[in-house]
Amino acid sequence: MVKWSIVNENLAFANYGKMRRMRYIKNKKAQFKIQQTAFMLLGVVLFFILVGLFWLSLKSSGIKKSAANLEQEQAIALALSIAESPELSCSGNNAGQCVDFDKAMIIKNLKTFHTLWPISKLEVRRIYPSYADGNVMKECSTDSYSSCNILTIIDDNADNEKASASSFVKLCRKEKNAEGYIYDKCELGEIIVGI
Amino acid sequence: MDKRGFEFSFAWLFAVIVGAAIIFIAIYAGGKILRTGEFQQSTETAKALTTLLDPLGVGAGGSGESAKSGIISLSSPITLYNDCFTDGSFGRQRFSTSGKKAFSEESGEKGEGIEASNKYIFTRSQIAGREIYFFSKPFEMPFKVADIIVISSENYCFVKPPTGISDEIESLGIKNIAVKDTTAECIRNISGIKKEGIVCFGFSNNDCGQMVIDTSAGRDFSSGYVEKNLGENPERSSRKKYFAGGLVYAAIMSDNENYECNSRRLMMKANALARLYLEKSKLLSIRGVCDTGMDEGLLRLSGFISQYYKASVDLLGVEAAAKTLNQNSFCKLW
Repeated sequence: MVKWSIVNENLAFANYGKMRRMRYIKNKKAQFKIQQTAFMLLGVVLFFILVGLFWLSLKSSGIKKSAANLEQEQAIALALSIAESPELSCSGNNAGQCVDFDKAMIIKNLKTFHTLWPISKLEVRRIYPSYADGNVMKECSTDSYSSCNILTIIDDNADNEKASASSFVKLCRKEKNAEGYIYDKCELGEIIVGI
Repeated sequence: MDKRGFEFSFAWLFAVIVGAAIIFIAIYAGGKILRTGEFQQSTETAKALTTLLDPLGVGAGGSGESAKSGIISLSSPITLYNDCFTDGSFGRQRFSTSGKKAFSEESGEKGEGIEASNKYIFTRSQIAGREIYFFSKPFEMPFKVADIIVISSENYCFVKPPTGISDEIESLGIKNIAVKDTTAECIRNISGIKKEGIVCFGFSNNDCGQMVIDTSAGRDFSSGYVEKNLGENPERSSRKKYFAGGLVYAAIMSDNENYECNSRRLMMKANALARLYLEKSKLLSIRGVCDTGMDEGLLRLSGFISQYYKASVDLLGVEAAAKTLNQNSFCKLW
């Protein structure tokens, strides 16, 4: 009797151990499944994040490109039209595509006008006749009025210039000849706009 | 009894929660991307429109011949917002747009405002449409101050305008302004015209949306004021928009706020230009070229503008002061 009970006890113990082992294996399997699902989900999320980042980089390069195009278009539009603004345009018959050199010289020193245009650089160059000494550019001032070849009207933050454009213009100023006759002396120039 | 149940394991619970989070993030990100796209598109449109208006804003020198007109046709309707400020030396305008919302007829995300100090755009504070009509015209006081740009998306009917104005509309080819002899003709011939679009020159009846009153000496509507016809609502105060120097169209086609703000900005620029011409006159004298004899007059005009200009009603005074400036024919400043 005692022997049988020991056998039964041993059997029960063995069954209990087996059950525990089975539960352990089942738990292990479940944990493995959870890990598998978690990794899979993590993979999916990472995949979407990577796709999103790729899409964003493409999109931002597109935005940068279209912003640069718009800046360039604006620079061209301003280069073509700024010479015709009342602040710089010539008087009387020389009105079209003509920069009044007298006005340009004054605006260089009148800082109020520098905030009028959305630009960082505005430069007027005298092309012909050239008063350059070789490749050396001579900046215009009231002293070197008629023998200079570059007039920098605005030069703010030129290092961060995003776009620039230029246009050929007439450069006119009032002069008086030996007989006392007042006339508009016009030369060939170039207006350079930087944004 | 067979009680067969579904075991809702942790793996399932985890998958459902994370899945829901992913779907939520995807929908949120999708919406955000759509809105960002709308914002980008609207900002690009505003910038492109502002660039497009650049050559108009500075005109083509000289006087009357620099006036231009045209239509901007868009593939889908947009709403244009125009805010005007009088800060700084020249004031500024902020121009923004919004396109149509995706899968909806509503107006979408408003883009970033594009600011400009060198443009004088007269509009209602908000205009919407697929076709935007614009024209530019020089504003002179007595020298050219700027080219004003008038933008609208609605049709207008001018009743009995003076010959100068009707000829100008015809020569400029302004598509959204019709010229008629009676208000009845406007209502009969222009479909969908709003009451505010019917503009009566020098007279009034119940059909007139706006009235233009002439105060000029020549009776040619070169100066005067524009008033809304309030009909049977006399208690509502209507602000008069005074015009001079070719601002009549701007006064008709823009809001009170926009008109007052832009006319003040024009005066700020006129003041700065008077100072510029004064400096030019001094420079010509120093260089020994000629004596313009205008220093005092320019100083007076500049002083008058900075001291007395408060609202559009003062335009008439500025115009009178400007008329006293007579250029020396052999030493012209402008």
